[in-house]
Amino acid sequence: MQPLDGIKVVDLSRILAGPFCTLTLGDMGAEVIKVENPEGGDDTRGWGPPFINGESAYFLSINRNKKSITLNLKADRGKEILKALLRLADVLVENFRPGTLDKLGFGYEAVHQLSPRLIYCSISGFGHTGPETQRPGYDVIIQGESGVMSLTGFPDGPPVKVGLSVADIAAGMYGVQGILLALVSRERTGRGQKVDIALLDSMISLLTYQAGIFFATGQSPNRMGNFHPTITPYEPFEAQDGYFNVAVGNDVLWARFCRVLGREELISDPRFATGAKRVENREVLRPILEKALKTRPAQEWLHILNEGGVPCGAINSLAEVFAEPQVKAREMILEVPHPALGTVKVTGVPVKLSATPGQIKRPPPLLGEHTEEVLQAWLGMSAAEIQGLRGDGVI
Amino acid sequence: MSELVTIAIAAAAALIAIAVAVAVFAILPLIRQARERTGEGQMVDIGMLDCQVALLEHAIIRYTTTGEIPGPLGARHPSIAPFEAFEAKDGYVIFAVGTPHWERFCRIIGREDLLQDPRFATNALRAENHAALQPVIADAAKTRTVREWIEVMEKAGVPCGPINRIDQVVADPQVQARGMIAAIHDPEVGVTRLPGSPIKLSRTPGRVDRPAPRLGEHTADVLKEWLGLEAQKIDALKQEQIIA
Repeated sequence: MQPLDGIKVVDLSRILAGPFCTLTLGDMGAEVIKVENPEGGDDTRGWGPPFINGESAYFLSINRNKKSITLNLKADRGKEILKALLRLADVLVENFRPGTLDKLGFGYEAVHQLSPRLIYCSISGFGHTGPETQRPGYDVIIQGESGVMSLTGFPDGPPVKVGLSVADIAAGMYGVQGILLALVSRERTGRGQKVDIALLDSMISLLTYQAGIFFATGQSPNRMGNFHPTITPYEPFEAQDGYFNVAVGNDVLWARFCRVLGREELISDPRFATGAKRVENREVLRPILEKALKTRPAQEWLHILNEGGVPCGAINSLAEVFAEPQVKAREMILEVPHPALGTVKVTGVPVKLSATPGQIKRPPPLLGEHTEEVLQAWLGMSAAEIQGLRGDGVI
Repeated sequence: MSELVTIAIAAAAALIAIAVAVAVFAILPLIRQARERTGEGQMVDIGMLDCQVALLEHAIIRYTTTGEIPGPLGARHPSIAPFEAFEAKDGYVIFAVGTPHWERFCRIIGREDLLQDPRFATNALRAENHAALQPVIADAAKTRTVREWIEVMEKAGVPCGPINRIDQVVADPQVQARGMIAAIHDPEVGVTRLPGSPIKLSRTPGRVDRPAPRLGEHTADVLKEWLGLEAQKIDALKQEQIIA
């Protein structure tokens, strides 16, 4: 059994934010029907290289546990079929620019009329309200406007984007939360509602302590490279042969760290006696530690620091990540069978539930792979009807 | 190690905080949903490392299919180009140019010749030939201010945007209109401001109605309301130093 067994999701979303949202719902047992346009479907099916036998690696990474149907939403018959699916669905997820679905007759009000119990989740760059609602929202633009890029990179270098499309991904996660919250609310009231998620809101919510620092001081925090604003040493250091991380978060760890380094005199040095002092004097402290840590290879430091109870870690390439015994033990890399490719490797389910765990039941779908199955199972259509729709270019 | 590499490390570090915050929040409703059906609780086991791996998105499949180890890319996108920050006259501006915008973009920056250049004919080619494309656009970007770029690009429907500092984010009209800067009265420190809830529910919206608590502020309240302990018992617990 899975927590979302029996929950039906009509997924009109494409690219990353919406598909990441429905990916989580699918992992937890929801039946996710990915509704795609017949001319190529989700844009990311064409994104690459790399392609594996013509299938986009990008697409494959975020579309497992979903069924794909094709539907031409510009045709009246296509709209009717979508309406029929929505009447049966619990959740709709979309990430078009605000207003796009209204024009097609599937805005929130219209769909709510059609099915008051349906939860309608919209994910957009700037949200469905406010003066900039109409602007297209791309991850990099939101990372810039939300202040995240101003905080990332070195102080004397240009602003840097986080190495992943983190605004899209965070919005997808908040979408999941919103949908689950609305499902809880529906259990109590029987009524659905609109979940309005903006990439911009999501990133601002992630500003957390950086926002707190700004509200307290009125000063925009500047980017600090690898430094943490309020803890040090909590950053990478260069060993003899490469980089590794050290995270000395309190005075107890500081004392241990100094002992492991054989620099016990630093413990009683008043310039470094407390966390606040170490941050204040980090420009003095950093070179001392750099010199000390340069003396051995990274693996050796990791071993000694671990033994000494000092939090530390490697800075892995992806090849190293997937070789990690811990990553394997947690089933965070999985191989699933694929109809065209044999098998594909995907990342595992990060939410581990003891009684109703997530599962990867199906590979990322081929375009329209489940059109017939869904039209038959959900709407009771006959093979002849489906053939007719295909002839008319509706599916 | 090159500067590029260390920059990406910075980005990854920033991501850790992000992943943890998001992941922890993401769990609560999931448990709730399952419990409503079975009446039984369960254990939710979240590893920070799992969350990071799950966030790797298509980096994993890029690696496992090609054997190529995705490296740091600075501020650019792995499979779309140009999709990154450029230095304008007075600061940085982001251009996010997908296939539908490429032609308009070239016209606006006055480089229609790029449309004929076979190295840049498709998005896949532009991503592949990023090293040749980037300096061309970087040169063009320097000719106008951030504000000027945003005005002409937006008019033409080419996605673009500034890189805001935190003070500019907080003052942003869209951020304000979405209620993303919440103010709350804290008896100790007066009015404090916090990021609002990004989950906008139409019927049952979230609220920010309590500041961060002082240490143990609600110990007595909770023992009384949840466990029905009387004042006397609570005092006794204090004396035994079970609570403070």
